Amino acid sequence: MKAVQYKCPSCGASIAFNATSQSYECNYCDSKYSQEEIADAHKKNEAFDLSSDKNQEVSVTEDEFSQHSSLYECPSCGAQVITDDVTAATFCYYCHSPVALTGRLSGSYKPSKIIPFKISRETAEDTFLKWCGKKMFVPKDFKSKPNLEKITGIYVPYWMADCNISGSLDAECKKIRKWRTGDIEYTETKEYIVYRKGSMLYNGIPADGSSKADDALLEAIEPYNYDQMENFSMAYLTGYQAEKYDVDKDKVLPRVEKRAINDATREMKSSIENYTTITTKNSEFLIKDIKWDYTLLPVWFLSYIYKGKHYDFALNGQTGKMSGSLPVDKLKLYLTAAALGILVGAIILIGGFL
Amino acid sequence: MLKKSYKNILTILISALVFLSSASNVVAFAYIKSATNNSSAGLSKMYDLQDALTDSEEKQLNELIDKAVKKTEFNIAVIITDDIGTKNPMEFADDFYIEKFKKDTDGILLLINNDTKYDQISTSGACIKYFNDKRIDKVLNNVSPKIKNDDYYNASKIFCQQVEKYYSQGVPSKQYSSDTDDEQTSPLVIILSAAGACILIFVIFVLVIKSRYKNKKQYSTTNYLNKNSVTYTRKEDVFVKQYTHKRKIDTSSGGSGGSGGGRSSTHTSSGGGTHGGGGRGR
Repeated sequence: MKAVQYKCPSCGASIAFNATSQSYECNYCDSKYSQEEIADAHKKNEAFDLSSDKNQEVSVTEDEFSQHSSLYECPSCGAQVITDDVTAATFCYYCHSPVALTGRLSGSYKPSKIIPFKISRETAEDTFLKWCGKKMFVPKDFKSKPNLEKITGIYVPYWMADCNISGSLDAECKKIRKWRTGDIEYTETKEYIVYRKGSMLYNGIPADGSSKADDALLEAIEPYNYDQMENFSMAYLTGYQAEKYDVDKDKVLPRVEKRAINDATREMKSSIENYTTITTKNSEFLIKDIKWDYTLLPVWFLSYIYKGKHYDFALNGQTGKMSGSLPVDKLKLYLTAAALGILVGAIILIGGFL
Repeated sequence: MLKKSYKNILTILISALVFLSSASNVVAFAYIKSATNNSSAGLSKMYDLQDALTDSEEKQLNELIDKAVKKTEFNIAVIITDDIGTKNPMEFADDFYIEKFKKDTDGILLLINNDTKYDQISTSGACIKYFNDKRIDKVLNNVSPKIKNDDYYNASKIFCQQVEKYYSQGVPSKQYSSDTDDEQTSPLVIILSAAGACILIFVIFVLVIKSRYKNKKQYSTTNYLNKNSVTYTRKEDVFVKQYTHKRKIDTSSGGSGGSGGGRSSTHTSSGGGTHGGGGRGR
């Protein structure tokens, strides 16, 4: 496996993408470089040499310990590091310098677009801390520094769908009027059958192509601003982890279809107006054509285990939107709730007997 | 062992409870004190308005009543009359009491009503508590037979004895006053609603906190829709039919009643005082 690094053109130290400045900053000599400059200096990395990588891949599989891991050699320290078969960018386990595994993102696995990280690690940690800061039922060590530092920035592989969906909807609708004269109530009902047939376009419905990631968790941190999408360059991955997709677009198609159809139904239904009751009788929708884009999107992840249960958080690496559920210190919660309940009960008792 | 914040909250809660219970004690004490404040210090009288008793009987009864009054510090009176005018026995007894004594003073009055033959006992002030409905019943059990036999002397005598007897027994436990004009709030209802509120608050608190600790709101796919691209090839609303139904609305009213055990039914008389007591026909 070919593992490469991006080095500062001035001093040769490892250089990584800085989310705050949206450029590459060297920690050692303080030089700053733009995307173009770094890409130019590392033309070799950017132009994946498919044939030589293929050989590498083949020779390595014979050394694999298991089916789902492979070996690479760190360009900085020379250590042989094992990684799983989806990781495309990570940090060397021993020397912590960022490495990019070019072979992983080659050929059909090469993403067309990427949204670089805009939220830096500090901002992510702050946002996270702010969300759980005021809550008093979160276990103490959850908000501690060592836990926060486990936040990981990952580029998650996504399939973006542009689709044309068409369909039809029939509904039975009623207009009901009621009025009263004297002690007689009149109900006038007008019945209609409503037909709708049409089509509409959806752009950029995202579906993550990683089997590891929790789909619901990631859907909750949408949306991403596609205006900030850039053409893919391996250099963006430095300083972060990245994965190639392991769920093909055919497998994510049902999810995308479901979202599109549900929304198209809602849209058509919303065109039916001024009725008291609407009952859908038939609805049929079909996705006519669909265009896929394979993109890497930035996400800050944090995983926490409390009393045997997993708590996962995701933070949109571009917009800062959060999703997840906090662990609750149940004992503290129940005690406080009981105390409050007893207090209110006591007040009522005393008030009632006075 | 407990964290500092726990200790703080616990301390605040305990002091709040202590404060509330002592406050309620103070208020209850003051209330009872005021209820037993008796400014007319025990007047008594035998009001023989129809002259059914002999002078010596009247004198003896007055002494008996005085004795009872001294012991109990209640206003005690017995009225024997054969004309209560246009009032009902309860009104007559209450108004008579207020006329002779002051309203809401501690006292009890027996009306021997030879007009409509319905005798009435009226209580005021602390006597409302001492003579709950049950006791009034018992007094009437003892007094009514004598009245029926026209033995007004013994009726009045027994009346005084009964007043003294129940005075020495004290205020019955579980006694409570309830105005017959109002709805009754029994202690059971209060306890149940307190327990119910406690549980409700507990559940609501836990649920609210649990929901606030989650953040998994799904992003609506509508946002990926290109609104300009929505086109309809068919958009028809077809009228099918129309019909009208009618129904008659009936109004109904309901009523409710209540009865109680160890309570003293009270009512407010026209004179403004609150009275207890009860009556019995012959």
